[in-house]
Amino acid sequence: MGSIDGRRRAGVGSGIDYACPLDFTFNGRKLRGYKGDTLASALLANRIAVVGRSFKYHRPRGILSAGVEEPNALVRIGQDPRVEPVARATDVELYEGLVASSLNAWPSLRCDASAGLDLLHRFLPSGFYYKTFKWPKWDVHSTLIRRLAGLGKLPSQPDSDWYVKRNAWCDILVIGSGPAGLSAALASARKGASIILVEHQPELGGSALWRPGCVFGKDQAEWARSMAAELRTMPNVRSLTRTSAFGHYDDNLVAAVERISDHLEPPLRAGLPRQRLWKIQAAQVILATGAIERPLVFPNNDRPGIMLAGAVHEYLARYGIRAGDRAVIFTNNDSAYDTAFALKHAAGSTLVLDTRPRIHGELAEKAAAAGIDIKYDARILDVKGTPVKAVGFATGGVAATLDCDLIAVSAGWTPTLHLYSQAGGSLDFDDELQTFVPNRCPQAVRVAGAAAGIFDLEVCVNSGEAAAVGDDISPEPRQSGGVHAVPFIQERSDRQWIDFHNDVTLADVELSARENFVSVEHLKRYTTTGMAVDQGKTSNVNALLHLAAVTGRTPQQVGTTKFRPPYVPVTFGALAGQVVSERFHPLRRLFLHDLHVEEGAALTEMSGWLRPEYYSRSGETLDAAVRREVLAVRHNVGLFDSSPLGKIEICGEDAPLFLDRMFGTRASAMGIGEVRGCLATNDESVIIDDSHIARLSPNRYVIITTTAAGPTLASLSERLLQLEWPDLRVFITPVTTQWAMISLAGPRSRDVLGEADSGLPWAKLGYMRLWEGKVCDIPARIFQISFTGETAYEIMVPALAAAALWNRLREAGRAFGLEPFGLEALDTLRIEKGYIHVGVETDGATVPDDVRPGTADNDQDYLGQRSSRRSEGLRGGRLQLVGLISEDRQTKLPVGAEIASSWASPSEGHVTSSIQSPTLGYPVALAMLSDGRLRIGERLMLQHGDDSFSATVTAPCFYDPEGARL
Amino acid sequence: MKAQEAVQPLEIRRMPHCAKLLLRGRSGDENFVAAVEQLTGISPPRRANSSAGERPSLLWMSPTGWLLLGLPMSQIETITLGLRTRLQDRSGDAINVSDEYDHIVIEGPTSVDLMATCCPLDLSQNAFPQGSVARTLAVGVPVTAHRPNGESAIHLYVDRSHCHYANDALRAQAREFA
Repeated sequence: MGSIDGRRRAGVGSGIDYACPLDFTFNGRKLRGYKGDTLASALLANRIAVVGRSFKYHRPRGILSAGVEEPNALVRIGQDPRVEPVARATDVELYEGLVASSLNAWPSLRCDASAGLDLLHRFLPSGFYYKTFKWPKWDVHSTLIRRLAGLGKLPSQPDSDWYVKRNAWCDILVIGSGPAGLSAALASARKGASIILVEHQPELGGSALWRPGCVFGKDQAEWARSMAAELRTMPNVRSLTRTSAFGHYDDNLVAAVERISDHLEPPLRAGLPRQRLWKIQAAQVILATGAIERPLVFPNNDRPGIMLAGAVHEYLARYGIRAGDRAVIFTNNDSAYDTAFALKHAAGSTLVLDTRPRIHGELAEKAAAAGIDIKYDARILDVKGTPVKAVGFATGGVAATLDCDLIAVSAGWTPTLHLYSQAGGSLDFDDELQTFVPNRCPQAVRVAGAAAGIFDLEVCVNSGEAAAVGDDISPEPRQSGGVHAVPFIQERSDRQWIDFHNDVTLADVELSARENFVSVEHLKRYTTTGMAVDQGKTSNVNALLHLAAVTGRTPQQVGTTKFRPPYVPVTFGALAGQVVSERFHPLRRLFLHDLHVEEGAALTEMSGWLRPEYYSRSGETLDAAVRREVLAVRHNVGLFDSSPLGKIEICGEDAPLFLDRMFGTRASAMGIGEVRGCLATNDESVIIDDSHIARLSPNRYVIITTTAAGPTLASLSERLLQLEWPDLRVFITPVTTQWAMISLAGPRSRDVLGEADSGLPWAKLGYMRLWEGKVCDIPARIFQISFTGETAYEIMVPALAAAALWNRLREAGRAFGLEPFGLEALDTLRIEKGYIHVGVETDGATVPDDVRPGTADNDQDYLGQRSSRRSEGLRGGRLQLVGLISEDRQTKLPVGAEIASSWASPSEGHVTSSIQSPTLGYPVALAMLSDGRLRIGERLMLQHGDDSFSATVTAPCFYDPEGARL
Repeated sequence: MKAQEAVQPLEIRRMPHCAKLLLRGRSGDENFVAAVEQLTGISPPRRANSSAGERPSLLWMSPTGWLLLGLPMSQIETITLGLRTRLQDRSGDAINVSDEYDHIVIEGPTSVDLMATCCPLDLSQNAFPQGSVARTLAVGVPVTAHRPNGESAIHLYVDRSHCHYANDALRAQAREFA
């Protein structure tokens, strides 16, 4: 077939629908492709040779490959707000109206303002930014360097797409649906196993869909389609096309991303999610991920018009595109001859430069029959033109130059083992293939086909079937003729590119070795080879081969870096799924949420709960509202929703003993209805909670914990019970959300409670007492404990009855000036009283004696008791809880301010909490201060940023130190 | 569901408040087992992640915990007091958790797919047949999942404080199946 639309369409590509033309734009230029094209194939067909600029030196770059390994053809797809900032043109399916533009070029691809950087390359080697630019100072240069760094431009609008996730489970997960993958999937499915088959391309079949050749006498593409058709009819098989497996984790968990609507023109995407993240757990994984061709390294080998030989073949066979009219093939192995034959057939003339002294056997005969011109013992010395116009080469020491517009290169194939390595698999260097092949994997992972270093088609198919049944298969024959190891040309190594994506040259590897970055992991970080979008798919092996050569080691000794997910770039949207905006993380709602909103509550998140911070009255500020609420509690009565406090029921004949061991508060000696406060500690005697324990019956207790510590304490109790004290008959049941808890606090709280329910047995109540019964006809537990410093009743009622109680108390409190109060007021009240907040006053080193003097004298044997006697806990100089009052009694001390005896002395503590006290009329603070209790009355300096303060040390309790109001 | 009614592809129903009682004890404790059998008519299932009975039913929650569902609310106190009296708060317990959990039912041909979007546990019929129970995560919050005997629907028991979030998030996930 002649050319179609006057461009490079040289034949009928197997994957192209010429009846369906698609218009698209590239850098503002209107172009046409066809259904089945990728953006890269459409650009090639339109003779677009230069598609972008390289990352560091802004060198012009063309399309190198035809798949996910593409390091050069990186483009921006779409327009705000739907933008893919960095996409590989080889991996973007063409659709009507697609808008693409080049990266890293300004103001235009042709006239890039930063192109001059290439002229300065001698001054910009790897790691230059680590050791130069010291004058006048680094910051001056770093601004410019950081501006130049990075690829692509983020969209200016929030992502308008939506993304979904799916978990899936199967007996066998097959990744890759080329010849080996198809045969593995079908063989497994026929045995009845549940199969998930993952394929990156839109259609099952992989390279079988376009490569010439026969499988057991059948045309390869026809064979692949019949296999795929059979798989589609099997109910135990789920085929996922347009899906890329990108991460292999423990327990054979494989993450993959499915492109649901990326390939559709925008109007057809309505109602569809963009992508789906799959998390697949498989009993057995079969990797049939194929292999990626490596480029050969020679001077100016990054010029547009130099492509991988396999890619040239694929563009011809699959997309019907002749990538060049005058092609030169440069190879060190047999596989590039397939490309030579195909090009010869399509273009008429093809020159092969082979690094080997001779080829033999069937291949030699076939080449001769096809009239392929072969130059042996060949080296490319230079490339002229951008894009390629001529190649300078030497054969047997004789130099020559040849005009050409395409150089197809092949240095052999690298098995795609990223997932295998992520799964923990180790790799071995294969001298014959000059690359790494799979060795041993600790997970249930088998490798088939080219990924296992098997390149013969029928052996690939057999290896897939063998993987399905768990048989080993001999990897022979691999690549017929093997791969000829080509020494790199020593001259002009700074113009010989190893990593096209990151502009890394042979010289950079040599520099890395000279700087003693000889570990392959260091090489990667020093030179950036193998980083970013392409993750070194075409560069890693060449880089480590050269590192081995310059350091005098074998490639096996050099090894590979540990591959990390993702194998291909994954959008943040796919990773997030629907866990965005208001569903970013689960927020717990109070049972009285709606009532609080009606009351004008300003809500805030605390310990995972959405809670009232304060109740605003007619546009009050936070400070004004807090002042009003605090004074209401101090002078009248306040109502607080303390439902999130942790509640744990402890029951069983050994409950008293268990609690004695857990807490240093002698729970076994408590009377029925008695409540005791205690600082819960871990086995290192570090405070983990400020709890209250109440005894309900001889063998039944309830613990009230702080909000954050409820789950922690329940889990610690259960762990101790199961692992340390399994002989104890105790049942620990968290009941935090079975019960709501409403706190009535203030000098009029008893009046309000009495007004709400006149039948309460007051004789059974009292400070640190618990009574169980009914309040306002609701089953309830009343704790007379206080978090505010005022008489308070913490009333527990079943969650669904909370609204009734709240409303009743609101009504009853109307005559007594009752005000609901929020977290800010509670915090103010507790600081005035000198009560600690665990995690604010305390940290991971605070022991009870630091905040509550005398607790170190407890001789009861409980968790953490032994640790409390360690010299570290008893030494002088420990941080102890104190109060601080600023010298002028007007300045509110900042939380976090460091405390010192003088400006010159080191820090001796820090401010933990600080308020403007509505009750006292001046600001007060709590602090942890070295030997604080011995320093009451001392005047100290405080520093916070550039601000300085002075304050006097006081006892931590600023209000009612005798506790008369409780 | 009546036969003539159209089958909804996916239904997410928040169920009315119902009685739930958490029984604590050891399955090897004959006194405890006998007391539970006598009070509920069901023997606590010993097999992990299983349930027994239909209405009422007992769900295995842990080696020492069973969730009793399907009781009339009026029986909560009777059973609680009965068990506590028999066991004297020594070798077992009954705790009313009716208000602690909200109850959501996922029903329809795509119910398993919906759960696969947000739950790391395989809740398909094969892996999670009738009578199965599991404590797991759905839409990021802890849930107890149950497929009752005689039903294909998946029942979720969600902490009440999380229920608003869970219900909202499940409906957002269901957009995919609309």
